[in-house]
Amino acid sequence: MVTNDEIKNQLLESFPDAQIEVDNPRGDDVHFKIEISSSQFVGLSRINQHKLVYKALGNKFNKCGQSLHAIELRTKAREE
Amino acid sequence: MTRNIVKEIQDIIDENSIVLFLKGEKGSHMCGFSKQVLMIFEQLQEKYEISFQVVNVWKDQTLYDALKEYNDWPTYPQIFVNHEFVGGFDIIQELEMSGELEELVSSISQN
Repeated sequence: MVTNDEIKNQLLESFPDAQIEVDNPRGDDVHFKIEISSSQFVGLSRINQHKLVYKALGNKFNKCGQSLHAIELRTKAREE
Repeated sequence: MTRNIVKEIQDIIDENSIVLFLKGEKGSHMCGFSKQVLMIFEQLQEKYEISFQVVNVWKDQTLYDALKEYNDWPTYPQIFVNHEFVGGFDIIQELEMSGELEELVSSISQN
């Protein structure tokens, strides 16, 4: 079962300066709410910010081909 | 005749001002996020008389896989407005809450 902390640590590897909140509103291991603010998002469009996060998550959570497909993501660019 | 799936995708996006690539379709089982996005656009449709094209990616595995790669976006739904990728569920939700989506859509219904 994927845990909030696993996701948080995975993201921290790519976003060491980030503030990250991971929530699991339905208590399953598919639907996650992630809020992340990082200086790496400065100047990026929302779409590209999200792409960075998806790349950071990678397919580490690819459980039998059913990767994390229900993520509600909020990104915020945080000035230094 | 082998399919040129990339061209098919480009044509769908070019030929429609709004395209919703969803998991499922109206009247049949839908993924929760896709259903919520469809409802948002149905409400906008009432207000702005816009039309949008729904593509049920569950019905076409080739397209399902190809679009993720084409658009470098790993999940569905995928929403295109004015022939440009606007986002998935969470970005559409943010745009809807901020009023940006309404602005974008109303600008289409005028021209």
